[in-house]
Amino acid sequence: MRSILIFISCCVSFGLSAQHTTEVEALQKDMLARLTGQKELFAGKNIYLHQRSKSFERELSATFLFESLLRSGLKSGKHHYRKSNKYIFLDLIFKPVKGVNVYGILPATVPTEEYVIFGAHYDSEPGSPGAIDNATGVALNYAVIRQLSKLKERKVNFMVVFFDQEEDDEIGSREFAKKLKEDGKIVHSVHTSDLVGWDENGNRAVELQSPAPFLEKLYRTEAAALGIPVHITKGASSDNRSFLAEGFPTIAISEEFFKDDSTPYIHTAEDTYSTVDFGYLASVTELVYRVMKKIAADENRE
Amino acid sequence: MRTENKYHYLLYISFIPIVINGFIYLIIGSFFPLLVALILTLTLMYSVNDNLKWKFRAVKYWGILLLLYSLLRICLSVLILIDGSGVEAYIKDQLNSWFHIQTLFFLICGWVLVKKRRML
Ligand SMILES: [Zn+2]
Repeated sequence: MRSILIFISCCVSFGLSAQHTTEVEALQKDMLARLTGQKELFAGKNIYLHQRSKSFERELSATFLFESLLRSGLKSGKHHYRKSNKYIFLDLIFKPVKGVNVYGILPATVPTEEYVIFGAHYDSEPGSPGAIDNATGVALNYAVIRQLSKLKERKVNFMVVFFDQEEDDEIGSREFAKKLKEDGKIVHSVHTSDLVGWDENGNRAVELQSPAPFLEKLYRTEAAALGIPVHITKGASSDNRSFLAEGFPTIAISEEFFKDDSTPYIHTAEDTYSTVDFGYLASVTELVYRVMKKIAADENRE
Repeated sequence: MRTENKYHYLLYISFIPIVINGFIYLIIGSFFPLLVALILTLTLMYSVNDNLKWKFRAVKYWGILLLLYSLLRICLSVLILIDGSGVEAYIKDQLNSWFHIQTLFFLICGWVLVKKRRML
């Protein structure tokens, strides 16, 4: 009798989790299709983006993401920035660098000033639809914040951020990290994701770059529970650089970039929707969600 | 009494873009472009109102500076067009028709001011 009950509960939970995965995949497929020009960006507006590089394309993408966050019930905002060029003499020739980061806040259910920041860059290289680099990162974080919003209890505030201009020396995230510092925000940790849609060897492995020790432990625990292999790499090759520079506890999540199981189409016109491994994306999404859920439940907080 | 002619207006108009650029950067907290613009324009204004010899020389130098500036812009555009790898997307993004119209404006201003400086 007991084994029958266990069998039934297994079936039910498997069914629920499968349904949940399908939901996440559908959500992520839709977001990726819109960001990469497979579908119109805004329903009924006949705008198709084939890259997110020029100023107007990035602005359109930012508006799309802002509206998506609003629709998900988050307190959303745009962080506009303008700054001098990399070399001062260029200021005599070119206009200031400008861009916009988009963020959504999911407040804690208890009073706290502490924030967990997680995000991904939404811009792409010129000429590239930027499906894996980095519409996948955007879709990952979007799905995670939506799942977190369904939790009954969150002991920390969550902020999802979509960064502009990562492809130009991470300008967007640098400006955002500076703003966090200036605003005196209490930051528990920062999680950035870039390139999370390629898994040719089918091992579902992730690379965690320069993680703060307590974050590495958290991710390792959850990855082990999900059977996801983890590789730790050094340095900073994406938006995590900006947050490390400001001294925030940081972790970057990606496919096996240094282990050579990463999209060969990076920064090319072939980085398209059809090359994305949505099963892998959903698997990494589940990992990040479980980590966030752990943090939300006040476990393993420092 | 000095009368204003069309070349005077051209001289004043040639200041406008760099001064506007200076203020744009001032708003975002960078003084450098406005400082450069003020040094150039004030030196020029002072010289233009001084004796004739200095006036012609100053306008000539200003014209040459504008020509060199427009040539620099043309060279940058061409170089980036030939090989833009490693150049930031937001820089490439700015190399549009408005950028080239401005370049043409500086080129024409510089050329006319050098040629017609004695008519000022
Ligand atoms: Zn990227």
